[in-house]
Amino acid sequence: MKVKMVLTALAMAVGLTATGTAMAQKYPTKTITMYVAFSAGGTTDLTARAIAQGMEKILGVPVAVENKGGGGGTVSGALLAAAKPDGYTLLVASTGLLSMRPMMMKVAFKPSGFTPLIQYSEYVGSLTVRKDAPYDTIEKFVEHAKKNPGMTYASSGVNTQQQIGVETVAKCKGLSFKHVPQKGGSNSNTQLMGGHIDFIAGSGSHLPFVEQGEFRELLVLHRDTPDPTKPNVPIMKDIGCPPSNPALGMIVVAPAGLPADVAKKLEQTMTTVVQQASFQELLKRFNLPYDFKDSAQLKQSLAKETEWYKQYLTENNLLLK
Amino acid sequence: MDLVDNITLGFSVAFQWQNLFFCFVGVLIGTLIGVLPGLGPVGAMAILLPITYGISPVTAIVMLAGIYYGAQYGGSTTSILVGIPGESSSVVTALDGHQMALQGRAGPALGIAAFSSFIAGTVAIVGLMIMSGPLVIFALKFGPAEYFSLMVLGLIILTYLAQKSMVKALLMASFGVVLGLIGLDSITGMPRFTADLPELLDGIGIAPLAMGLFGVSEILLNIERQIKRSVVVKRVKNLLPNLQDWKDSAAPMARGTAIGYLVGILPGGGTVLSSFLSYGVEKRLSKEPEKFGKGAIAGVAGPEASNNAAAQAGFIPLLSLGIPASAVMGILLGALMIHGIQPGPLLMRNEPELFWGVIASMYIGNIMLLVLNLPMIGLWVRLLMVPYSVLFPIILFVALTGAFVINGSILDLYLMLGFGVLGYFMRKFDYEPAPLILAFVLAPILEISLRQSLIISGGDISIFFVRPISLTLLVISALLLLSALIPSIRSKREKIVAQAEEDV
Repeated sequence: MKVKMVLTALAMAVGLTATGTAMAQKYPTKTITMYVAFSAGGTTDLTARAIAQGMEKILGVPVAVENKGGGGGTVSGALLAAAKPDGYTLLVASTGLLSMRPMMMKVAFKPSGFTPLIQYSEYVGSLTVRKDAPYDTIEKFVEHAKKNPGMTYASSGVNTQQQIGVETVAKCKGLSFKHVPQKGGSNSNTQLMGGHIDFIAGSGSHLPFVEQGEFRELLVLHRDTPDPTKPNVPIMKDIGCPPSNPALGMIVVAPAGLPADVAKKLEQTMTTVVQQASFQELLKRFNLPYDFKDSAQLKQSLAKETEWYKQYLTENNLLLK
Repeated sequence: MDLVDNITLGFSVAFQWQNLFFCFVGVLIGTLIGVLPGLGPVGAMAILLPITYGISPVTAIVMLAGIYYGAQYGGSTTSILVGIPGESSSVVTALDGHQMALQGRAGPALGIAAFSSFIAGTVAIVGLMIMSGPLVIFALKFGPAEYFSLMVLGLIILTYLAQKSMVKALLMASFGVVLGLIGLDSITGMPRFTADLPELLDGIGIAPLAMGLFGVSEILLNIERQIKRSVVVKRVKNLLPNLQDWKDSAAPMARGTAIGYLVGILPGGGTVLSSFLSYGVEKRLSKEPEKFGKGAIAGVAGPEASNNAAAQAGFIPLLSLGIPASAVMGILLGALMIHGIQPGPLLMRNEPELFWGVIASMYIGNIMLLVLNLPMIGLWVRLLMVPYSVLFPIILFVALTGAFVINGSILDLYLMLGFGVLGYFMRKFDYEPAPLILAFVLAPILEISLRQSLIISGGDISIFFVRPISLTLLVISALLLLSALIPSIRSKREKIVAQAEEDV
């Protein structure tokens, strides 16, 4: 009797495991929904759509992209955290959604509510001025700033990666700037072109203007090594400053509790897609760097990022009470 | 390269068969998007962007651009027919356009809207060709102080929108200001009045607000009144504007075009502001201002001209400087980059075929839209003959779908219905929705510009008076305000109020 029970239990266990594996092998069997934490038409959105298309070809199921750009991505974060961890709901967002936002404002999700899958790019930032400005190197700029406190600068928003970057420069060199926040990145470019502000915390959309000779980048932020596309532009360590805030990454996440084999399949598929030449070309066209991290590396860098921003927010009294 | 050469190059590109085809596809889709309330060109363009991967950059931009300005044409159709603004730029058209429809003059309203849009669009394109250089430089001079003063001017114009009690209109405007506060504050990054709802972090959407206040409230009012819609469709010639209509519309069209062009070229200016400005200007200059709000054709001709001119002019900052003036232009920017074209000041020089080809195709697109829209007028007017008890559930359903599709958010639906009920009560007690919407759109821009200006000046108010453009705008605003207090104008207002009270 007992033996029969044990054997039955064993058979059930084997059967269930086999079903489990079989289910994972069958994944995916229906449409995958990919939320994007940004509004339609922006560069992050377009890269997400490219990834979705690539995944469709490999996985053989439709991958439907839905923009949920509300509230700086917090709407999409809440949606994802509440979704079933079955691999049919994903989110393309910035690492800031997990590392910064929950500490700054009340959100309907916890950073632990996600399974990070991959990172494929990161957001750039640089201190940028007009080509005809009287300071054409970062050293001359710092000198000018010391003599003229209160220089104005525009950014794509308060407490964005690039704005924080400029403030770390200010802190290091003992400068004081006046921040003129804008709604979005392209307004900063317009303000700079019109000469209404002295410099900008360039967040990527300024790059075509640099290439076409209207703007000049004086200092690359967020990087520990020089930017390979612009090796002559100094980084923080070149001017004797500690590293500025880490760059936020463009990542794909799923809800927490994702079965390991589904996660692995997703990770492998997306890795293949972002390594394809067509995707690399797309990144180049958007002036986005290719910065790949697999799930293990991503978990590590998220932890480090959260630490950094926690300290910054505490020092600046911005932590959510 | 001189202008004639460029124009020839442009048309030779635009007349290539694939550009003609995709231009048509674009304007057709745009018209449909415009007619359907809620879903706007931004959503459609984003969805259709992947289709453009396989075609050339010129063709892609031609199609996407067609969707955008096509939507301006389509939006006026729903505004006029059922009083629901199909696009936020058509809110003003709903004021007089729908009244005309109720008086059996839907045909002329639709006709004038189509012709105004066509003429204004065409003139704006010519302006694009000839004057884009110096105008863009002018637009760049608009810093935060200038935007503040422009918004002040816009809000003063608001006073001319008021039909009946000025106090009630100002109350509505104040309410609009408060509604505009809801959301994430740009300067501090902190949420205001969002009740911890993440959907409200971006503020209340203008589409649910406008559709609710104008459209749903209209439906509720109509159900109550049980209007017998005796819209008799006569012969075709009554479907088009008559000579008197043309006479009444000519000057408004011209002024609307100028206003739309100038406002549209400003980053952040846009079609909504220009249509409201035009309406206010027309009412101010009209010899019969009391007719506005009751079916004055100038109230359709002017705003329709200005929103199309603004739509075309919005391309100028993008094509000549690489600066997207609005969310729609942002998508076009992305489309350019996907196709390997770097937008920026050198675009005109590096890609003359693209630049001039797109401009030429806009001209062709406007002709296509006129040809598309005019014959449909008969169809639309016939639609109005359907018994209202059948019509209104369909309209309501389409409006609900449209509102939901924007963000996929149920909150938007609740907002639209809530504002609909509010709008119903408002209108019953003679509180007008138009000042609310104008204030809702302008006040946030005024606030952020004010704060940005004061940050730059270090708290010094003189920044608004020292800068010439800002000073000019403020002086105009002061003059307009003063003239509202001058007796002769005052009695005109009293005439309007008396007229209104008679009608009640």
